[in-house]
Amino acid sequence: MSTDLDFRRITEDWLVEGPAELSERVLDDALREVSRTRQRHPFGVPTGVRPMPLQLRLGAAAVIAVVAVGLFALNFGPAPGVGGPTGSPPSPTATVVPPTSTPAASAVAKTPAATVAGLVDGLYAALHARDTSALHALCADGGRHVVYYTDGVIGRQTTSFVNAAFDFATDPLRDVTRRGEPIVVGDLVAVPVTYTYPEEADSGFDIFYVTRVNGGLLVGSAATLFGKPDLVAGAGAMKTIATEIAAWNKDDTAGVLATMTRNAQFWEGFVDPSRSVHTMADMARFIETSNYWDVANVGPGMTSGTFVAVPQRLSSSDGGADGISIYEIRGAKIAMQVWASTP
Amino acid sequence: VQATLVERARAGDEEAFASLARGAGDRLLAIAYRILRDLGLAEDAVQQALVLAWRELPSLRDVDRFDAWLHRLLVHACYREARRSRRWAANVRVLPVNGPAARDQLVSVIARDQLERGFRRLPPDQRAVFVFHHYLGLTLPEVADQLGVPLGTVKSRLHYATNTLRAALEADLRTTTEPSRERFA
Repeated sequence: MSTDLDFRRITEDWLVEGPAELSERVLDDALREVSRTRQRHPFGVPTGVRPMPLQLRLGAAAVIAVVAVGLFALNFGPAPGVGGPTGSPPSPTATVVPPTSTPAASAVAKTPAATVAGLVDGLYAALHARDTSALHALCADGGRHVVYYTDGVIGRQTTSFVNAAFDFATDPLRDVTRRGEPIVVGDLVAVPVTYTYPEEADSGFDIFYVTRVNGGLLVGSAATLFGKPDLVAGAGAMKTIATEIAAWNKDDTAGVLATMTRNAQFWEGFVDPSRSVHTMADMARFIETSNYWDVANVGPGMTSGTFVAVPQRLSSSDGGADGISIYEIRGAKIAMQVWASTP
Repeated sequence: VQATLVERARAGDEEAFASLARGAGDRLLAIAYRILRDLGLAEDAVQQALVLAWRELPSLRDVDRFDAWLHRLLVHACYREARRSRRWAANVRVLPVNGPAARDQLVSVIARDQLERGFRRLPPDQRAVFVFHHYLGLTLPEVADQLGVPLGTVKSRLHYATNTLRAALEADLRTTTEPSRERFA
């Protein structure tokens, strides 16, 4: 091979050799997988966060146990199994408010806050004061609220923690207090909280999207993650999280799974529990199809109860997303992770 | 027509996406195979790329860049497959030798064997640059654009890849004066 031309000729001839057609089987498999895969909004915002057309919203409400015209304030009832009379989570279908009904509180005039800090202050002041009207005024219509409560082996989640009849006067919930400053990433806010009931006080995080209305800010869709008071993330929690991230960034699926409990859950966004992944097999598949992202902690983690919230950045060659992950740490392993990203 | 299909697929139309996938499938497989040198891995990479493309399509701002964007997803899928795979070591090509060969034919056979071996020693990012430039015929700025890396990085990767392959070829060609058939058994 004496010249560049020879080299080009040889290599390009060699490169031409090879299969030329994608088999139908491979294409069909891919398209089957596509039909099972939801599209993701830019920067990973779950599609459920965006306002849905009314018809879809009404249709969805009938099957996914979410109040179409919900109120965040109404959602701040007792956690399933905590302080309530039954000690078990309500049936998802039992508490669905028919989409044609409109909770009376939705008529409450909204009073958007000027800043995120002001919104958070107002929200927890209202909760601490057990002032239902003040809560309604700070919460946007149409928000969802998911609750995740940890007591025994694994946390439970439900979207049914919604009750139009919720009333501080009759509910066993005694107090909601902030345990520290919120983590704010764009329009996403995580607040360390303690919910106090007659029998116990349970700690964790509230996390919610801020909704912009008329130039001001209201609380949008939200989740509450909390658990029994004896459950506390240990000192090694951040190390566990760092190990998981390192494995993730190396595309080391086994390494990621090794940081998790056997029945770990991952929520891709907190407002749509149907996006959660429950089994290790599902988890492995999820990791294998999602790990083109690299993950980095971009701020210190904060612990509240058995949960750790960390501001994070996801990046890939095609873009990035800022958000917050909240991990449930059980016995130095990750039992649950919520990833929420900013719009 | 493709822009319309991309728009529809971006809005959640699976049939439109299927049309795009059928249109791009052969090309994606060809690229993936040339980077990975393994049909099974290449098929896996194509599947991954298509599923990711569907999932992430709403984030594609410029529908006219669909092909380039899809190529980039495919290359990243190839990187993942390459990292995961341990099959390459066992996937050594056995070349047929049917009697004495003319020198040109012999060079061709030897060259292909050495290219194969040399190429497998390259890291996947160098392979991708080499394939995009020499197989797809893209200019280096176009390669940089499609892979989403700086032009200098593309030049560097191509330089190392070319040197490695050239060295592999030249080393072997020095031995072809007295070819030994045992080499190919």
